[in-house]
Amino acid sequence: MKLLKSCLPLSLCLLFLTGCWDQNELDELSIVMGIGINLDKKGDLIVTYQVVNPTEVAPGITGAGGGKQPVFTVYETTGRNLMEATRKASKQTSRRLFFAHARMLVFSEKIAKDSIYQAVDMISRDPEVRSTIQVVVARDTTPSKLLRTFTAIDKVTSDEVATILKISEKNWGENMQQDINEVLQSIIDEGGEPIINGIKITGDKKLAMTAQNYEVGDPARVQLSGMGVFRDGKLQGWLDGPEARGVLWIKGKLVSSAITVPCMNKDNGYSIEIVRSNTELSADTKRDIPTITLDVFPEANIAEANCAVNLENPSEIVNIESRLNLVIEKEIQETITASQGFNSDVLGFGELLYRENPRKWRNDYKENYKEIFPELKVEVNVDSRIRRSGIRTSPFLFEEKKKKEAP
Amino acid sequence: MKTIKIDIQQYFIIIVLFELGSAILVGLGMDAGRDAWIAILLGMVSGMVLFLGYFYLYKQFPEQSLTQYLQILFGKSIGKLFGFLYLMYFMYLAARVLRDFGSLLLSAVFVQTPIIVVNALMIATIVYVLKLGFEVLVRTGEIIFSLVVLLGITLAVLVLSADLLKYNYLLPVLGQGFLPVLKAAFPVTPTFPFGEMVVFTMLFPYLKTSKKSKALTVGLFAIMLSGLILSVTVAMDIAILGGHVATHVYFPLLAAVAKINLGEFIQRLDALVVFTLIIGGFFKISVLFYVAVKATQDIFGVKEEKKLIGPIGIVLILSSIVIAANYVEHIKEGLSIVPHFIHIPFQVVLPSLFIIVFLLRRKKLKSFASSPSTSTE
Amino acid sequence: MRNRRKRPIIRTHKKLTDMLADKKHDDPSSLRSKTISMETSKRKETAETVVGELSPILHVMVDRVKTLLGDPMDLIVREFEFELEQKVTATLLFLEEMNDPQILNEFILSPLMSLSSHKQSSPVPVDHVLHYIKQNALALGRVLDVETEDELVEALLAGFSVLLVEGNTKGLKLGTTGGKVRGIEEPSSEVVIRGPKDSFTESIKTNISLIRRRVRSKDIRIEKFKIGEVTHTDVAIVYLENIANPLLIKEIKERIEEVKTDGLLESGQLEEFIQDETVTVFPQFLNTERPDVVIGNLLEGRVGIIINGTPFVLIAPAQFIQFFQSSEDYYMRYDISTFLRLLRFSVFIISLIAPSIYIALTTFHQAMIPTTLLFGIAAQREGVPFPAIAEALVMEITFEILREAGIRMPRAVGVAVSIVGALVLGQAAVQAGLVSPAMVIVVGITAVASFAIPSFAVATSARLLRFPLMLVSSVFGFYGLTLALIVIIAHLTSLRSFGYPYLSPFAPIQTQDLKDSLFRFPITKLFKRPKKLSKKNQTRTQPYSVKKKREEETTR
Repeated sequence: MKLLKSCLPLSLCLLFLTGCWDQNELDELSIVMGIGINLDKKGDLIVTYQVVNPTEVAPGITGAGGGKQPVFTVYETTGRNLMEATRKASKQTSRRLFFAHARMLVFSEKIAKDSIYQAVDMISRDPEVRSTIQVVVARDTTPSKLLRTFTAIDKVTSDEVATILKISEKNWGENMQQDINEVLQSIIDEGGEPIINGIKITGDKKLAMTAQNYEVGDPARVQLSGMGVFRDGKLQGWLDGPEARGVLWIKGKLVSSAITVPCMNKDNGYSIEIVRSNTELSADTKRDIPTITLDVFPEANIAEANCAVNLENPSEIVNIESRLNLVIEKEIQETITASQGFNSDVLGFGELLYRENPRKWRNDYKENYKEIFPELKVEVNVDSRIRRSGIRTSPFLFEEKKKKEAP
Repeated sequence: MKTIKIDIQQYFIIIVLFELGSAILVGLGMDAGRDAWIAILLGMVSGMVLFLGYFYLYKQFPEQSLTQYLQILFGKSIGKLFGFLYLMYFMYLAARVLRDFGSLLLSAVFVQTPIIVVNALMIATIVYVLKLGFEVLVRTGEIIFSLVVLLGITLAVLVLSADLLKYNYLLPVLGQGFLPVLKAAFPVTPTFPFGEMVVFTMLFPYLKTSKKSKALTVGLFAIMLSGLILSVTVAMDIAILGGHVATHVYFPLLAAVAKINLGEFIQRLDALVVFTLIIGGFFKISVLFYVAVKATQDIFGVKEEKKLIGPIGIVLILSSIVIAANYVEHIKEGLSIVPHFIHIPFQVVLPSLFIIVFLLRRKKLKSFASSPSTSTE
Repeated sequence: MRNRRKRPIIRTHKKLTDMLADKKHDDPSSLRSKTISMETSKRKETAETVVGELSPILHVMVDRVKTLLGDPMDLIVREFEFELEQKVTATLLFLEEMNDPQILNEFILSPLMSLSSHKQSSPVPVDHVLHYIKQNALALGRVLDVETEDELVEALLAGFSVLLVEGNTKGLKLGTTGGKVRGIEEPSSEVVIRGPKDSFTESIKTNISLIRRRVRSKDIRIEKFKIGEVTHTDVAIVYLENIANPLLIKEIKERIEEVKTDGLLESGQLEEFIQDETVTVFPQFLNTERPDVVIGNLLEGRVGIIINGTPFVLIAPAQFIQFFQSSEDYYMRYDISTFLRLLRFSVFIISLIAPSIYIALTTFHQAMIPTTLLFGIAAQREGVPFPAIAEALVMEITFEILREAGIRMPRAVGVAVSIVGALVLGQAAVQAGLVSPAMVIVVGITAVASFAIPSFAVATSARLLRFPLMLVSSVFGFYGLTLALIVIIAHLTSLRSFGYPYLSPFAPIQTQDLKDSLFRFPITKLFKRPKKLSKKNQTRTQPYSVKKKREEETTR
């Protein structure tokens, strides 16, 4: 006991002498918000870090610093691998790069076409980078340009992109959030391949990289642009527009969107707002080439009616429903054809087959899935329900038509 | 010496905390892929069988702990030898769990801190608590238990409301057939954590005398509960992360919780979970530590247990570092060597041997056991 | 005249001494007093009997008293005569201002001085005078014999007046205690919105009466002790005999009797003497100035310890959870009081660990802070020259200084102090970039939180523990904090107050008692007293069934 007591002050000293291994004051950290990875001509990695300048982002801070500083700075290094590049960055920065708050990982198209495996492994292995980091591919631009773009609303580009992804998935449904974990899992899934969002810069690309971009009313922006389809870790091509939305239909991830349905020879007849949707998948694995059945159950409202139809008539609603079904069916079929064209199962059909019939998958399908997938027959059934038609009854076009016909 | 008495509810709490302590942290039965949760349930059932065996031994020697009745079963010298082996086993277990937690902290939070510091801090805490007595540890356990229950419920609610579970990840059930599950379940899963119940052979005698009849049912119930919790947790990990990721990270629970993000505000809870887990680890190491102290006391005839706590603590710190060169080796040992060559002998083979020897020598021992043999106490 | 008087006096004197001596031999225990001080004085007395006896000669006696007390200026010696069979000289001794002059005049001096022999039916012998006037002349409730000098002096010091009559070897002590004491006022440290508004005072008699008035039970026991070689402070323990555990009472009595010190001024001193564990920052006794709190605790089987000279009454044994309960909890609706109890407990946790959490988060676990918040904090930290721990320590210590200053300062200066504290130290320090605004907020929350704990004693423990926790979390982050909290919990579970686990009913879990711990169940559901505390008479409430009856009636 006496020994213990005499040790106590000693150990206290120890406590203070030794304890600073993992301690970092906040002002010793550079908070990395985005990471960009590109390949240079020699085949080395170019890594770009977007580091935030907190004094400029924080609300209502007029204290130290202040004034006109950019919201973020960008560091760029090259190295044979990611770690090397990361550590090299310390030659440029006075602070430790801190990755826990990184929200976006950008691949250049070049590296995406080469292979993303190495980068995915490194990022998912690092304990500091969170698994919720969003993965995107810079389309028609480079990560370093993208990370240098000044965005107007969320001042930090990476933040803006991550938020755009979230909002767009919920409201439009041509892109879906893909974090590093989901990418990893889709690589591992039986027969699965990853699908990664594309992003591009619109507007004046030179202006985009200067702070003046803030000062113009119509600045250059970042914009989501399709989803990249991969095979064996290599980018094969892009799904755009309705094709991309088809992926969300199939995966059952579509929350809400707007679909244009023709009416009486008019292409732009109705605008239908999808409010929720449910997808059920099943597979028939009796034959060598399995058949997959897709049942989609969207619920929708009529948002715009651009043709003279009596919306108070229930049969008319049924009519619209069937036309909506056709549109969605077409979208989905296009998506399937496209991904079969790339021979890349980004839709998770392999996983479905495995779920439905594990034995047959292991014995027959798995080996030559590359041959089977393009041949897959998919039957798409859409059964939509239109619930409401906004706060108006029939469109005034219909009333006018009645007036004309009446006399 | 003041005799410690454990209440039946305290006993229940010790078992549950002990079982969950480190097992909830590392992925159990992950060889079975997305069927890991079935493997755990299988392990649980066989663990309950093992528990019956331990309990049978205790019934025969209601007043003595394992190291004490070994000396009755085999005589002083051989009994002490077996006792010593068990002592080594308990110490090894304690060191292993300590290493597990040290590694967890190091890989998740304290990347640059030497593991010896982290482990020493943990042992220092345990030494302090044990110096206050085992009773204090048990009562602290009661508080910890309510905390853990509270946090568990909170986490469950968060996971459910964050809409992270993808049940598809759990399908197909038994996709690879039953064999891989069986392979994953045996022999590893029963031995860890369920077979570790063998340490309770050292603690049974402290049960309150009036409650002994209930001890069997309560014990089995506690094992069942912890088995269910473990199984559900692993199923949750898989449903959140997907079969592959869940089986390929060292700490699946941590990775799963990291995905919680509610309204951009409740997020990044993994570090918080780390420290909840530490509480569980603290408790498990403490129990193993105390059992080691008890065993040492019995074998070497030390009167005061408090004198042993400090030295054994230092031994634990050092051995926790020496047992493996790196974490990969540590996990590898834990998955392939330890279950076969250490857990099974100590959890299955030796106890069955004791039961057989007891049955053979029952008549001779009867006179021995019924007489108030206080020589070892 | 003198000669005539002297003889019988001496004779009686001898007789009395004999009698006294005999009595001592026969039954020493009957004279034994409970307190140590009395015992020691007794021992002294037996050693030198002659000195201790009262002298029958008045002026000798008066001189003795004067020398014993050092002829104090407030000792009043009032000689007077009255007529019985013959003229009798008597002296009334008392300490001024400790006696009520009105009682002295009206009920002692005036009836005695108007005594005259012709009123007597039979003559009174000199040695019976004392008995006679006790029986016939003194219109007072409390009149007791005084037989030794020590008793006499003690009686004087305790605020009695002493009547000596020429020729008697006994005196009478008269309960004329009075003088100025503080009246019953509203409690200052435990303010409630709903509930009784009276509080204890410095006078033990008043305090006992406050309890008595509320508990009209024949089972209430009040036992008196005297502690303090010099101060001879009255200490009383109060309990309900039909509820409290006799072993507990015995233990408390033993511990109080063991106290040997020169003076006892406040209950805090006694607390330190008789508590179980001495190495702890947590209070071992509940102290209160509210009579209703004491009674509530008596009903649960606890014991109150009242000390003369302080309005703070101790309650033993104390459980940790009690410090988060207020008497008001029982007067308000149970849902509200449950909420308030939970609030108070979380407030305790906040005041204990808020700065530590801030330090751990900002120096170790930046990953846990939501991104936008992190920007805010990081921006504030920008340019602050100190590490977070130094910043926190400086702010916390500053706050402690302000608080201490606020208590000690004269009230008029207090405002100035708070202005200086708030403006100069808070705002200016932030503007000068010495501390970050976030830290000021954290310290502010901590400070306010520590004021919201009903018990000052526990708030102080939290204040003390805060600093080591801050240090630990600055070195090991949440890991250190977690382990430190485990140590604190273990320490708490190891504590016992008079043998009762400090953390009960949580560890060990007492399911019944949990009903009235962090939660308060409806009063109609609190059937039992705390299990371990009250061995006897467990049930306190019978199921209340009026509502049920009503329902039945209406349905019929």
